[in-house]
Amino acid sequence: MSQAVKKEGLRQSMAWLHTWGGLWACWILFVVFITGSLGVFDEAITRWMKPQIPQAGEVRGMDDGVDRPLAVRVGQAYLREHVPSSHFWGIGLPSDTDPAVRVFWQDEKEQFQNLRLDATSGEPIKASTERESEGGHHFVHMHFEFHAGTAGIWLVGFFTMAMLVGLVSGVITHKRIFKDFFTFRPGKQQRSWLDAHNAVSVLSLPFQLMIAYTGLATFYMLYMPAGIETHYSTDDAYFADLLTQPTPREETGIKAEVTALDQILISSEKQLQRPLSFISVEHPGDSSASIVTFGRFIEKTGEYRLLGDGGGQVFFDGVSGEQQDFQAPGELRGGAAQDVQSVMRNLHFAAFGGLTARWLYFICGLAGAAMMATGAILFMVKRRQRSLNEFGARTPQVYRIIEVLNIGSISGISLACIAFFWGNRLIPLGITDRPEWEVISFFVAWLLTYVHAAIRPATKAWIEQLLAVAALCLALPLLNWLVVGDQFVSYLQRGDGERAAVELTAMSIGLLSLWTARKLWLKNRQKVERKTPQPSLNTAKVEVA
Amino acid sequence: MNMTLALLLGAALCYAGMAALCLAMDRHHRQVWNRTGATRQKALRLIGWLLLAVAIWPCVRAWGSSVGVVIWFGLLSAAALVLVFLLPYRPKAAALLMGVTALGGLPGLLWSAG
Repeated sequence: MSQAVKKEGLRQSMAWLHTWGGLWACWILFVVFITGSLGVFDEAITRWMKPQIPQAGEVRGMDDGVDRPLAVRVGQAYLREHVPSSHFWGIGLPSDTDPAVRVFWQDEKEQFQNLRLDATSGEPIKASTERESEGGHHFVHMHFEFHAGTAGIWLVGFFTMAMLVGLVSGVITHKRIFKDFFTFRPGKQQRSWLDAHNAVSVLSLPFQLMIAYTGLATFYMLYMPAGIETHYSTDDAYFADLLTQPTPREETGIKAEVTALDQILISSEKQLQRPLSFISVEHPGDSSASIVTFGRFIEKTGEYRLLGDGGGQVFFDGVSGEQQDFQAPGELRGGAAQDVQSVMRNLHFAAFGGLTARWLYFICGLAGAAMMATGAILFMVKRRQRSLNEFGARTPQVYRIIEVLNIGSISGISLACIAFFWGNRLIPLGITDRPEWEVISFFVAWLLTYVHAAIRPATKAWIEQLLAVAALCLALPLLNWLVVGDQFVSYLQRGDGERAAVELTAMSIGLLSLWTARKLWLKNRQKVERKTPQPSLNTAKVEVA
Repeated sequence: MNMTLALLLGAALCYAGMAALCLAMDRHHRQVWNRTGATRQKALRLIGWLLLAVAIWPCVRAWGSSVGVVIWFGLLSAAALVLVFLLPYRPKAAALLMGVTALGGLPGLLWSAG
């Protein structure tokens, strides 16, 4: 008896936690899931957004048609001329998604700055006449930090914890998890929303638990810094110790020229047997300078693993150019705990199993987004029929705020995502900071959806925003054809499956939005007709019955 | 094993297995056959578990033992999601698809192994 009471008590308290904890978290988490799902295909999206770069090819080994030693010389010359006394230099080598050299440095305020240079002339690319774009990286950055740096990573981490709480409390709350495993009863209002919420959550539960946990594990250094801070002076010292790499050296104050980095590149690539992706220089201009070169990550087809797919690294003295350490591609260091963390990170990043894994992550990610959306909508559907008066006299106003946040965070963010694609095609070429303008267009579109939701009746706002998503998605190939002269048919004819898939996926999502909007519209019309009884319709119903 | 073939086999067997386990339950059995049937339900349950188990095989063959298991989990979720939203609208089609995927998947698996 007492045990039964206790059990019911647990379930009820978990239901409360799930409802209220879930509601506040689901707005942020829906954004995280939508942008994360799109981010799975960041490279494909980047290619669609930059028509000037070639279509994805096979791994080309050492020769990808770029003079990398020249690119490195160009980068080093720029850094030596403009920021000789910086504490850090980085040179990102041209890749098949960006033909420019990217230089990075730390300014006097210890802020990281970067600039893109032409890979042969070394001229800074400020306002190129090409379609400069943030590309798919935008979605990846929204996914883990909302374009807000460390604060954003903390925000996403906090809500990821909330998601784990939501998952566990949800499983406890869900009384008939196995009995209702395959249950979905459409057309029954609140019942249907609950069924849909349960189905998408339960059926994708392994993925949801995995993705939340591995997401947190990816940023363990930020989220749980105490252990490292107690034992090490800096993060670099921790890594050097963990990965048995050369220890970071203190600056000496003695001036010394950085060695020729093109020779370092040639030597590294010969040993790693693959092109470099990045060269970093600590303390350039100082006698303590050190260099690390990073081999390119190569996603091999037909050889899949969760561990040991690193591109390899080579360590050099920054002044003499003498080699200090060599970590072969795929070589594991740091022991079992480090390996476990690497597996978790790889599990999260979805780059381990080719296209199949990416599509499964996309589908499961959208199921996660649907879990958030159905939960948030269920909350309101339940209360629209009968207010639960949680906030006394203020209840209607609070419900209204929740409704507006629901609309802007679900249909609104979807609209902003597709608006970002339109921004990429519509923002004029050649303006300064074009990629930033794309991101701004995304945020402006998103903000406007909240304004729209606030000034329109809820059902109308839902329908209108879904229709807008449908229109922008379905017309994307047309826009592309008008602006760039390409669309999915011409892509397919050229064998560019990646770019074609971007448009075909957008169109599928457009159709889904259109279907949802139509359903909502029909239901709303039914409701209006029921309120104003029409005799002809009633007799028709009787006849059918 | 060929990646596309492995994907098709894995997806087919996962769907067939999930559908069999689903239709082994009273409520869903009634959705398709309008009544319960103890023997058929018992058989469906057994076949369902077996199909899900053998679905690991093409995944592991094509993607290796670590990635293959992840792919298998993903296919289980994807297949179950297709099933759960097909069943209420087209119960007969969901059952028919189970037959097709099972009858196509099992011989396909034997053929690819041989």
